[in-house]
Amino acid sequence: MAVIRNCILPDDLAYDIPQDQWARFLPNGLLEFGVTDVGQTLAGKFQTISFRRTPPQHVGSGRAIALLESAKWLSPFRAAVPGTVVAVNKELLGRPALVNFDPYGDGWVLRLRPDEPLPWIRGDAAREEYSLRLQQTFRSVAGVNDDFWCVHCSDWDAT
Amino acid sequence: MTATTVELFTHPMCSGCQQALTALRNLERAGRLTLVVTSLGSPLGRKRATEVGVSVVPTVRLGTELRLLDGPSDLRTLLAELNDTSSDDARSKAAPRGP
Repeated sequence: MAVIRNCILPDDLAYDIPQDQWARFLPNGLLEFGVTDVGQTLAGKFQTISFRRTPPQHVGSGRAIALLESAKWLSPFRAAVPGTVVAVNKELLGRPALVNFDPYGDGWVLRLRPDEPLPWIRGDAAREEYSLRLQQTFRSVAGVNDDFWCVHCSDWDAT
Repeated sequence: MTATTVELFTHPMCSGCQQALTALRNLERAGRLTLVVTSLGSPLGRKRATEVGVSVVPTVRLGTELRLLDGPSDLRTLLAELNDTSSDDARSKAAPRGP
């Protein structure tokens, strides 16, 4: 696991760094997708998550499957490759901030059976590219930030 | 007697931080502790957090001990401990001295 500017980047995941999304390769050939630590920090606390597709449903690459909203951020979560959406995380409907509290675990967004290989980067390449990106100036809910640092809040809403 | 110093690490985006800050400020006003607030929303705060090993908020530092406040129950436990500590201090201050 790499930690860059307090942002956690697990080694076993693939990343779409411009979109701040991760993918996990599940043993049954499925891909699990979610928002990276960087993405959840940039967005701030998620307030609403809705799903545009009801599984099982085949989708083309780039089709919106979910919509994630925070106070100042609205982003469609798109299919990275064509495939069949087999599950969406319905827990997020009631607790969207799970994406903030546990982005790589309970905060997963969807599972997809891909029709073709995922072209995202992994391992050292992902770490190097994210490291380069994190050296840039960011605009997030907190404003322009030239000293970006991932924020991890404990989940008081669950207790 | 010197009041216990508590350092609270917060961030503006963190809902639990505000509750912890309010509760600890109340204890500070009552003279039961000295509160130092470090916000991870600023570069200086992040530098301080890195120095002492804080990566999740709200976290308090008591002496060399770091304690993550992972919910209201953790905050209640901390407040009870701080109240006990300040009561013990007050009792020892009021206790009669030996001959």
